[in-house]
Amino acid sequence: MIKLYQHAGPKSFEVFRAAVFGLWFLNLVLTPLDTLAQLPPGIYNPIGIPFKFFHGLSLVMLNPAFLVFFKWSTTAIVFLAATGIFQRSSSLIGSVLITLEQALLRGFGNINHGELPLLYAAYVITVALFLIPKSKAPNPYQIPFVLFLMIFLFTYTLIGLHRIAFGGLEVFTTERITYWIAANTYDVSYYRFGWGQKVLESPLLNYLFVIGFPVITVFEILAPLALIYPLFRALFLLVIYPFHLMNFIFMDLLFLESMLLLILLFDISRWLEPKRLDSPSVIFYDGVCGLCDRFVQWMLKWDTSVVFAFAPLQGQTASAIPGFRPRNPSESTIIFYDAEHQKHYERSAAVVRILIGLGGLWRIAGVFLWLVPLPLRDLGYRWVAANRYRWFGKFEVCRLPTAQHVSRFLP
Amino acid sequence: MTRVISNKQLFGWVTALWVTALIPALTVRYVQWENVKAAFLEGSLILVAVLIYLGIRSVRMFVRQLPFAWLIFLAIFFPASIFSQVAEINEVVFPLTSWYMYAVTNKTQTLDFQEYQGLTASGQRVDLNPLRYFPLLQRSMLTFEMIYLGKAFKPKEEMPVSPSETAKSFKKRIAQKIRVFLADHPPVEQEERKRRLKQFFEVILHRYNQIHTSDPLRAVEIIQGTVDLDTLPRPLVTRQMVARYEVNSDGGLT
Repeated sequence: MIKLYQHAGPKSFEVFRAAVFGLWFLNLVLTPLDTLAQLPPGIYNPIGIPFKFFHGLSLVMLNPAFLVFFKWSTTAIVFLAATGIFQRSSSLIGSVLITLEQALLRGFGNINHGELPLLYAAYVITVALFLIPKSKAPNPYQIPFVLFLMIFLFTYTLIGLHRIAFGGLEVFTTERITYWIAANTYDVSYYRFGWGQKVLESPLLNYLFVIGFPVITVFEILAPLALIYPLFRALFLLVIYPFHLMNFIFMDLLFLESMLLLILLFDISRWLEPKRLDSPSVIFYDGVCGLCDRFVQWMLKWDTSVVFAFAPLQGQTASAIPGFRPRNPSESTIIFYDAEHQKHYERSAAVVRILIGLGGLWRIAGVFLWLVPLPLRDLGYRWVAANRYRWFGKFEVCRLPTAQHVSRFLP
Repeated sequence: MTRVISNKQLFGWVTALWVTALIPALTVRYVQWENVKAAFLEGSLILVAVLIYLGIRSVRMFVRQLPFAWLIFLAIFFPASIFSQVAEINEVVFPLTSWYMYAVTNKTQTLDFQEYQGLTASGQRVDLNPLRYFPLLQRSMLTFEMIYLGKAFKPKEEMPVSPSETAKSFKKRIAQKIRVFLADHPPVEQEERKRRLKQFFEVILHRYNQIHTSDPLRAVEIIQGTVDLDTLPRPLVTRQMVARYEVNSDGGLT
């Protein structure tokens, strides 16, 4: 079997979904879609079979008020899809709407092929959201990752094969790549770096491009092998990233989405899935504090992999651990006890460890929080801790866990 | 119990789906009078590549063990992708497309390009990069469209003959209509091209003057350039103004 993503689970799939729809969310926010209404309809060419047959439909959509409505309603739905709210319906409707948005943009000549794999990723995720709950496959979460990468990497193969079928060997034996560098240098482009001119004027750089061209083509054709062989995967990334960068610098062509999607070749599931230990780590919490109680309820909801156990700071488990003494009990709302290394973390360090332990998107949030200097995040922690009873209330006695979660609580 | 398809079934289905996609794709190319031989070669290379990848045990096992619903997804996506790749009718098949890059072997060693410049009220010459004024089209082939429209200013004998002028019989006219429907860039008459380009420059003019209110444009020029690649590493570049529009009193172009 394919080893890539064999440990994928709900957490890594959640990150995949959030990243793909999150990128679409950013794309939509940054796209001034309303300016399409200013372009002359004469240069608009309908894209996609529905618009080809019903040209009037696309012209209605090019109305300025409709474009503003369309942009922000699509953005809102894609935001829901990225955050996992009504995830099946928001992903399905979101995928349809971004397809329509892309069709409108392409009607004015926009032909960013980099956006298409991102669109396919949205389709695969949407299909997976419907199929995974019913799946009887040994690891249903591996399928969307591998299937998407197969489709994405095969697009490179198609590029390479098309070049051979239509260009023949002539495309490599003559200096055709020089022609393309010149075309991209002199044509109107958004970036206009002008670095292609340097290649045209330097015989050495030109020569490097000419000999690099067939090498790139070989890697393009063999791209799907990156799914299977780790050594080829490393080589492929070492070749294809500089190729995309050179396209950007010397040809003014940016394939940003493709470059971001190639990150998927680093099996992110290995890092994102929570690690279950024989003896779970313990979160000690202030049993009478309203904030801590809510935090524990929140943890029970998100810790679906059952990585953590819970115990009140005032209980027997806390007093039984040797050397376990909070530095400042009045500030101790939660303390994280790492059972594997027998170490405990207080204040914001505990929050960071807990978030990282949860895996998925929370792990990424934990890493971002960890990047904040400790004194600064501890300052925020202390402020909340000092006001916790006033803001969130105080119980007279520790609340008892419900029957459903009783096994996760220690005395 | 998950149903697992056999190797024989897998290779049989892949070949059948390939045939199902390739025949209509080649028909489309034939109708468009395009390079059917190269398209057939491309289709064959795709099949060979797919069969080689499926020859790798881990890939084959992965596909064979896919749940039925995912196999249906692949059975739609795979032939649709092959059809899109070979037929090369990107505007019709969207959101699929034909994937190609740096594949055309242009025989000529001269390269045509266009530049768009404006003259402001104070007499300054400014670069009018349309993609800067419409950033949402920044990674666009809009420039290709503009170059196509701009070629309308070339002498008549250099213009490609409009297919509608050559299509005489009823049968040919029907074939022509299909061709125009399928074509990514349906051919446009010379005068219509000029009109569209002028419309586009009026929009750019409007955008430019919105931003630069103190020194608005009074004229817009289309510069046709040529690069002689035989003169590398010191490329010989020639530029010639082919059209000039003056801003009229209504704020439009004349």
